[in-house]
Amino acid sequence: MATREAGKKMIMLKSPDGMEFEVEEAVAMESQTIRKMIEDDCADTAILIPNINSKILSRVIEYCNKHVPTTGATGAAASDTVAPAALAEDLKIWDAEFIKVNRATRFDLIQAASYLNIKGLLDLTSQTTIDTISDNSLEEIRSFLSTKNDYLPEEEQTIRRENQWAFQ
Amino acid sequence: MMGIETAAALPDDVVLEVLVRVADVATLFRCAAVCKLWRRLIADRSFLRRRWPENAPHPSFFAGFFTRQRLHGKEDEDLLVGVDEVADPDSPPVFIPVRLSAVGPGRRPFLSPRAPAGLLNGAKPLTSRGGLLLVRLAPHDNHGPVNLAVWAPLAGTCAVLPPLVCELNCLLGYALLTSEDCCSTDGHRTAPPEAPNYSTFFRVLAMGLACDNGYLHCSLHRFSSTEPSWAVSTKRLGDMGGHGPWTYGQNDAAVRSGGMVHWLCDDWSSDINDLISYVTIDARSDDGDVSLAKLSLPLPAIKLTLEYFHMAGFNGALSLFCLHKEEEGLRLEIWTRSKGTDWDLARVVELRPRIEGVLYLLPGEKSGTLLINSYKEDMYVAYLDTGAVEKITNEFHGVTTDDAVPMEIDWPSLFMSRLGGL
Repeated sequence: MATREAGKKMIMLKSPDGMEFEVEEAVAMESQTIRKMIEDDCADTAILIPNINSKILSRVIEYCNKHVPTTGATGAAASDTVAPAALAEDLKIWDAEFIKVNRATRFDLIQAASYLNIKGLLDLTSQTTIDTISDNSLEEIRSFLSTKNDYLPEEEQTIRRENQWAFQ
Repeated sequence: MMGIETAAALPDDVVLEVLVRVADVATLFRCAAVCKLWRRLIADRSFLRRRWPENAPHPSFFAGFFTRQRLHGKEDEDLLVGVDEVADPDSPPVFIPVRLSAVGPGRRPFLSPRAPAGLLNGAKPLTSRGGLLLVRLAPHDNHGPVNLAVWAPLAGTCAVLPPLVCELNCLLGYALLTSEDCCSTDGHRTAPPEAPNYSTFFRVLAMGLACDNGYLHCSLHRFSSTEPSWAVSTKRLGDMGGHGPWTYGQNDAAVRSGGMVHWLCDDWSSDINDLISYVTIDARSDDGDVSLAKLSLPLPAIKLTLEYFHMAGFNGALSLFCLHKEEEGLRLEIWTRSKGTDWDLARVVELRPRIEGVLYLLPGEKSGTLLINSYKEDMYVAYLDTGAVEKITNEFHGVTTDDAVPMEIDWPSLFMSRLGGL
């Protein structure tokens, strides 16, 4: 957890499995869903985040901590001497490390990012998934995503035959 | 719930968030073939509208251009004998894809039509619209009937039209319209009419002109995929004061919303000293009414810097694409006619790097691109959003360049037609 500074408003996030995470309000507000709760005054001192277990929630908070605008104190030095481009580059490297997770964790992160409405995290997790399937054959896409094919063989043949441009 | 092992277990709205970020069109299409649920999610109008917002240009709509195979040994004779003489009569039209296209080179060869073998051999591409290509079939002479076909390259279908007989001695040009062009001018889309004999609705216009006893006569030929034959309307357009013959500007028509079609022509009836004078021949595609109007140019005079200009539809309005020479590159001005004869400067784009000797330009309305040909027979594509100009010369060795027809593919419509109805 980042060093707490005087005057920073803190918020408690609770996962359904009973874990509690104390985070700065600014960090929590990286999530548009939580931001709306806070702005609408729907948030008490603790916010229950349904559907997101503590393992995933802690990773989401880790992401938000890194990505919160650096005017606040989040560990990363918010210094005028660091050029924005270098900062962006640093974040990119950090993101690439962050997303080195197994497929199940990535799906969980996608769902969490979607529910909490964190655009950057949703972009990152979605794009990583898309990168694994781009330029792959249909069979490979199915296997990467471990989705079941419920097309009849004739139906799939028809789609392939009539749309060869997409399958070659 | 957490612990999701398969993508199929993700809620629909989460899957949509991922799918909307798939940039490559062919990959997105393959995703629709993963399972029926994904197909339903992708072939959804609101999803496709989110992926490709309406009224915004999408460079991915520009697929490439059609042209013809050049006869072996006729490399440099276009200007001497005309492009029809150097095109190979035994080859079908050739498609040249742009590099980043979903149907790009080395990735997916463009479909050949499911048409009788040899039908398209020697065919000349005339104009394209909404993923359809109008071609003139071979053999062709200037006196007999004209045989046209509408080819849908992605669907692989090719519909041959009834022969077109034009009594007048000059066919000025053609226009191809889709259901989108024929919707009413107030923006309301009417449902496309049923097209029992063809896979999709289209309308073809051909404009014939002749000068007789000092009068200009026209005959507008209209064919619709819902009708069995051509409809013809003839009209005496105006007194040419004994002048003629005309020289004709661009063959392809400018199509704007509401089904209005415009051809640009040199005006030879005006004072001989007035070198630069133009008229438009305007046709209504629904009832075939034709009129002639003097074109008042937006430019105070043709500036010395003007390299080339072209009339086209842009955002549903009649527009002029004017290219000006600059030191660093070219400046594109897009003038659109709002009401009456007033022109508004709708857009200025600095194109870099500079192209020497522009021969013609063809705008892609939905993709925000220009296909540009130079005297050196180089082809370029210019992107209006960035002003970047890309040379695509190396990819069309051995084909004619004077009769290229750019091809745009309206992906949302294509996805709907191929994946809908489940």
